[in-house]
Formats: sequence, structure tokens, C-alpha cells
Amino acid sequence: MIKKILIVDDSIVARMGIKKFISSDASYEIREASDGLKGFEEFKRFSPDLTFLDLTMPVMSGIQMLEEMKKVDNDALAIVITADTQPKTIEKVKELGALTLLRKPPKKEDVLNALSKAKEIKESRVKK
Amino acid sequence: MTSSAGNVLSELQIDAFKEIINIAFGDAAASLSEVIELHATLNVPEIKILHSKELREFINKAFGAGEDLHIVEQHYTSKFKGIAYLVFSRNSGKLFISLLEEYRDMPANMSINLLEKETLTEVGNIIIGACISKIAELLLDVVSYLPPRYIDGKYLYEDMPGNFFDGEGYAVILKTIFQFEKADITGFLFLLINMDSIGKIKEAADKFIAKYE
Repeated sequence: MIKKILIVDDSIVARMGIKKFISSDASYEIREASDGLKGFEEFKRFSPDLTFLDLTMPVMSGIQMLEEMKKVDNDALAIVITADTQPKTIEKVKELGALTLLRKPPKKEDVLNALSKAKEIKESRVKK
Repeated sequence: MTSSAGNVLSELQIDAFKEIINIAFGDAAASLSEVIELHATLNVPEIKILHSKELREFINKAFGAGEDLHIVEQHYTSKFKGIAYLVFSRNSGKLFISLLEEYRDMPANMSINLLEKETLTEVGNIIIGACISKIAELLLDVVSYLPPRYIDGKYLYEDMPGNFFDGEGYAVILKTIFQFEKADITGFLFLLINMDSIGKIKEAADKFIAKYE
């Protein structure tokens, strides 16, 4: 079950978009952060079930944040939403164990599909 | 942002433009990586809004001491009139030549300066074209281009076309810095947009925001 969601993006508009899309699915407890470092601090405090994160951010990049998240909790579920879709970036994000990478600006159905995938993984872990 | 820009755009409208340039440059980097195997590290874009009176000082400061720079300039028109500048450090020309396959077998008598110029103009064309086209797509706009122009070194306000600012408009300056991994190439992209009517840029930003509200 996914209840707590963290959204990390330096763009207010991008965070608004993700909140709007996922709020149409169900009601979640949502927290936000505007850079990778604040995001990582919030990740440790909040222990979200799922994190949406951007890659190109000030202070700490999304790649660095994802690396730090995985050190704390290797099972942490992350959906990357980024404008950086170069092959090496995609490869790195996969290597770090993100659930998926969505291209900015994301489509609502893609965000909801990724969210469903995260729910399935979470539920299958609970059953085990 | 400069002091005169304080009341021009809201925080949300500025954020929207930063997000648009972030998306557009991400597209441009992906397009370039299809042509050459080079990964670019992207940085958070900056936005400045200058009154036309402030533009001379800005341009001369940004490019005036630029003897060590390669500049590719490309004009475009859409709802807005604009100029894109792709600026590279001096060492970048030869590095790009070694990376672009079609230039490896160039005639031996072709001068290295001409080859550098051609290479950088092509790289500029790819990056600027991908970036501006994406911005136009996001703003539901249609864009047309003039061919890119290579400028070796200094570029001053006086080098800009005389009719670029013919009124009391604003210039929106979008800047993003990038580094190419393993190639020691640093550059930046400036998009200068002539805003004769600031209402147009507000409208464009608000349309983009509306999709996410």
C-alpha cells in the first residue's frame, strides 16, 4: 500500500503537475522538497513509500540523491521524472534501481502507470 | 533577475520558463548524443529579464571579452523574435572534430580553422534547433530559423541586428551551462527573446502552468 509520497523537484510547476496527476488517483500524504539535499533529508525523516524525483537540481543532483537513498534503504521505490534523457543517464538511473524514468513533461497516464507499478511491487513485498 | 524585472513576471511564471528551458535543453542534449557519443552534464537554468536599455551592458559583459570563445548565433522568429547563442570554450572545436564521424575524412587541404567553424556550426545547429523547437512545442508555437552563423571571438551589442530592439521592450535571457563528460568542453546556451509586449510572455507562461494546476 502506498500512502506516503515524496516529490523532489526544483520546479514548483513540475511538483504541482505531479501532485495534480496523483491526487486524481487517491489521497496520499504528500511532502515536497526543492533540491536533492532537502529531498534526501525529507526522505530520512518521512520514510516515504514512493519518491518522485527530478535529476537536474541545485545543491544535490537527483542521481546523487538516489545513490544516498539506496544506501539508507536499498528497497526504496523511486520514479525519476527528468528532461535529461541521454542514454548514459537512463543507464545510470536503471543501475541505481529506480523503478522507471519518465520524460518531462510527463503525461498523466504515464505517471499513473508508474504509480500502479510501484503499488504492485509494494504489495508483493508485503505478501512475502 | 535585475531590479527592473521585479514586477514583470510572477515567481510561478519564472519557474515555468526555467522548467521549459530545462526540458528543451534536455531534448537538445539527447539529440546531440545521437550524433556523437558524448554525455552532457546539465545544470539548472537561469533566467534574467532585462529592459532593452540594460541589454547593451549585459551583452558586452557576456561576450565582449570573448577572444577565447567560439560563438554560434542563430536567429529565429515565432510569436517572439529571438536570437540563440551557443558559446564554447576555445578548445572545443578540435575536440568536436574528432568526435563527429563525417568530419574525420575531410579533404586534407581543408584548413583546420574552416573545419572547426563548420563543426561548431553543425553542433550549434543541432543544439539550438532541438532546444528552440522544443520550446515552441511546449508553448504551442511555430518557429522558423535563419541559418546559423559562426562568430570567432568577440561579439558586442553593436553586432546585433539593428532592428532587434526597436522599442521599449524587454529581453528574456535564458541561460544554461553544460559540461561534456570526458571531453573537457564547457559551454553555455543563451536564448535572447525580444518581448515587445510582455503580455505575450506572461500568456505563454500561464498556458504552460495551466496544464499542471
